Amino acid sequence: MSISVHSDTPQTGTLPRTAGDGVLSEEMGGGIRTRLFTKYVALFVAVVAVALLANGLFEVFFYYREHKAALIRVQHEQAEAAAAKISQFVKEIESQLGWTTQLPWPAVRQPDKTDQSSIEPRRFDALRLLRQVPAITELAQVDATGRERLRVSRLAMDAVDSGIDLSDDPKFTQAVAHKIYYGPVYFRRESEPYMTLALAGARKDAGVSIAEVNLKLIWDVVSQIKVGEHGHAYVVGPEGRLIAHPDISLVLRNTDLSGLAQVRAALAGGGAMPDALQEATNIQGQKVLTTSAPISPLGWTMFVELPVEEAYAALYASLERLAIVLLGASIFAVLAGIFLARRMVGPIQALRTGAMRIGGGDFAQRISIKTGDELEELANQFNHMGERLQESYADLEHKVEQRTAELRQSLDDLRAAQDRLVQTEKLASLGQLTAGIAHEIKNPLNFVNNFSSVSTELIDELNEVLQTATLDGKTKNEVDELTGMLRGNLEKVVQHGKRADSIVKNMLLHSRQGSGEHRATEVNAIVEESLNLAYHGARAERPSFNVTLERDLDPTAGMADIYPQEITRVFLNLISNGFYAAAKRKESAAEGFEPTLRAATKNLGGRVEIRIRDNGTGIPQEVREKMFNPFFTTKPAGEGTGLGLSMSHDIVVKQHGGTIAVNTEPGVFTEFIITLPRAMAAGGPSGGKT
Amino acid sequence: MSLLGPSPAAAEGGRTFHLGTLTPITPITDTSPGGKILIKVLGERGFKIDQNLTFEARGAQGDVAKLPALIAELKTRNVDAVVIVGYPTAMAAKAAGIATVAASGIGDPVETKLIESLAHPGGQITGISDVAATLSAKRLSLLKDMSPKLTKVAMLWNKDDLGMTTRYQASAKAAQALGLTVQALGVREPDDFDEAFSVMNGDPPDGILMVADALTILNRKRVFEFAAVRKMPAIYENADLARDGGLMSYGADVPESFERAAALVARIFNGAKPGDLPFELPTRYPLVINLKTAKATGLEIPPTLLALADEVIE
Repeated sequence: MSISVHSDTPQTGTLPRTAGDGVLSEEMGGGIRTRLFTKYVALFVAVVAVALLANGLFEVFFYYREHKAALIRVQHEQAEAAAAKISQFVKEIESQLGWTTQLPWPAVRQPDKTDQSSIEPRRFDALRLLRQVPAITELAQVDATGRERLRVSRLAMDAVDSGIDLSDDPKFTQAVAHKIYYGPVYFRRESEPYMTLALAGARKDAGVSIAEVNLKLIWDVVSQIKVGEHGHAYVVGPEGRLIAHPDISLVLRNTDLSGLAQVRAALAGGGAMPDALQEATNIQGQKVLTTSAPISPLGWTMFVELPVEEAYAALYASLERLAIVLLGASIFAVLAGIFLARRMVGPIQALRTGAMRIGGGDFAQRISIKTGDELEELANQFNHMGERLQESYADLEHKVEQRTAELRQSLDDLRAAQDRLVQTEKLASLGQLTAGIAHEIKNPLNFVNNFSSVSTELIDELNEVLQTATLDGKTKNEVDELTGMLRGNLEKVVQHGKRADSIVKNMLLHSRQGSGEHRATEVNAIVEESLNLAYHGARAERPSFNVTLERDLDPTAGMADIYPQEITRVFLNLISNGFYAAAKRKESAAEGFEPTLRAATKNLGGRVEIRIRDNGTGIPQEVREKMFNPFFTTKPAGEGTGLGLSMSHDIVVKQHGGTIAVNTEPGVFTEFIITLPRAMAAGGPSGGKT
Repeated sequence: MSLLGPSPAAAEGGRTFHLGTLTPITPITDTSPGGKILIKVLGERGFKIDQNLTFEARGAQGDVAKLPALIAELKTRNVDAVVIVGYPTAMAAKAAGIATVAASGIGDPVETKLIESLAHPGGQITGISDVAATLSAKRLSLLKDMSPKLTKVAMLWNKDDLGMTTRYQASAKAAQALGLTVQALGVREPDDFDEAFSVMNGDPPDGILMVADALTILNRKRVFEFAAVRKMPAIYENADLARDGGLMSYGADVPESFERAAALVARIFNGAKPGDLPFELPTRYPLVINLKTAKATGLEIPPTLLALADEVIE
């Protein structure tokens, strides 16, 4: 599986790649209360843990029951076996004792030699019995009448024919009645447990053998009964007195166990105890698992006990193993849960991140999930959606751009049209105004001019008349002086009248612009023509004028669709200005200065460029700002109307849709650069005005 | 015989236990029969020499006056328990207040006021009680079985030993029951033996009963020789004495006593208070007859008696 969120845009490359590292998730998952990852892991762990735990508890429960039952069973068997051993111990003493009750006692005591000699072998037999049976400390033999005939002991001197009457003693009566008598357990010197065992012979006259049995010897039996590692077996008498215990000190201390619940229960139940008391506290205060068995025919009870700790050690060990398995399984479940959740949640996070980025506008976003399942399919759908969105977006942007360009174009066109309209209006009104003014001024001016020249002639006639008249000298002089002054005045009137006439002519010329047809015209030709016209015009005006003309005409300049008359006016205007500036510079310049004017054309493809350059005085900055305004001129009064450049600008820019720019350095040169489109813009002005 | 199996305290405690032994005569070393038994039984219970058990043997070499000093010496060695033999040793140990296990030869401890009762001794002493007082009568009867025409018995005992004195008194009583006369020969020091022998020379008894204690045991060879020379039957208390040249002996089984003493020592090592451990009584009383001595002395041993003997030395 591979999950990645990649993008074509560089900034996305710095973003975390997977959601698993949490940084991204945190900033994005503000609204998420519990993460899917956590839920998934928790669920997985819970399911596995519950299954394991249920299984474990089930097993433990049944194992515990079975284990306990098995333990009790084994212990019960042990107790019965131990009880049998004790019975066997006593039975052996009985059978040994049986040998001493084979021979009959003479009915009457005869204190003579023969009697003595019949006792001696018996004494020897009795001593041998003591030697063979260590548990018997003392053995007495009683004849059928209940008289003690012989007593041998390990500790005391032997007694022969002591004559002690035991006929009423239960040792004797019980033994005679039941063949055997088990006396109560008693403690010699309050320490050593003893029991009287009396056995009657098969024959009536064989008498009774009474043995004092040292029960401490049972210790050998009980201490050899192995109950687990720390368990043991012990024997309790009918009154709850401890008779035998591996800890012999307890026996010697004459311990009363009737206080223990299990002992009371067993004594009440005739040796067997109810199951409920299988767990009890023993004399050492230890919790033990205990069972009991009656020791017949003595009325004693055999107890077998095993410390609970040891009894359940196997159970605890299995519990421990189970706990380890559970723990291991839980860890595995957590790991597996994390792994699976990563597998599951990783792609979802990737999807989320991807969707988020797409939602944030990053349509180049692609989600790469290779899980081969529905998630991959979903990612592919997302990618598809992103692609479509990206396409739509790109398309939309393109369209917007296109529309914007169109709109901009329309706006530009509109503005140009508006400007042209305004200019046209302006020129139209200006033309009307100038035409009106010119007309109105022209007639009075003609009068002024004509009458002043007539008046000049009249002065000449007056002078001729006066020549003939006799006048004194003085008067003659005064007349001459007056006529001279008059003539001067008239000349001035004529001069200024002519200037006014020139202005009016120009005004009329201005108002007449736009006239003519536009047609395809050779640009180089029109430049050449204008140069010649201007040059000769200037020479005609001032014969001293001289200038070097340079031509740099691009042979490919070709044709342009223009109003040739108007453009000629523009060129004439610009060339005349150049001549003027160059001539003006020559006036102040040093000797050797060559006034030069250079005309150049250049093919710019759809446009044609025309440059008119002079090496005249140049145009200062403050002038450059205003030079295209109407009626702005730097020439002395009478020499310019201030309409030339304004007119040129309007013709080039507004009428032809071209450009006019100036490049100058005061005192060095001035260059006007005109570009004209080869074709007139569609919808352009069709012609000038009257 | 094992009591409760190896003790956890002994197995895991990690500390070393110090056992002292003290007798009025020769020390119970780790190579002596008693010492071997002690070490063997303690080893079975998890106390092993060179691992967690040290063994300090002391003997007064017959000079009971040295016992308190020896006990004090053992006490400075920080012994955890002392196995002692003999009543004077028990008295010295009791005075020192040291945990004591009496293995043998201390008489009846209740009668000698050494302890309160067998079941609850109290104090710092426990061990194997001795029923030698009643056994003395049994010995006299065995001596009579040995030599049926016995009428006068000489009794040798240490007058200074209270335990021995009670034995003498019990024996004297039993002798009367048997129709015997007792020639009391109390001794206090080795020199007294000469006097005792001269008394017996002057009034020869039919047999000798020697009450075992430090003094009499130290001088045992003289008694053996005297009995042999006089062809006198003699009975002693310990099997060792019979094995050593005495004619016969009847008394508590010494190996059994040492085994039980070792078991009690183990209980004390495991934290039990000696005063809580009941005194135990011996169960076996072997009859040992030295046939070699009998032959050398020229004494005929009745076949019935020989048949009853637990050990016959030939």
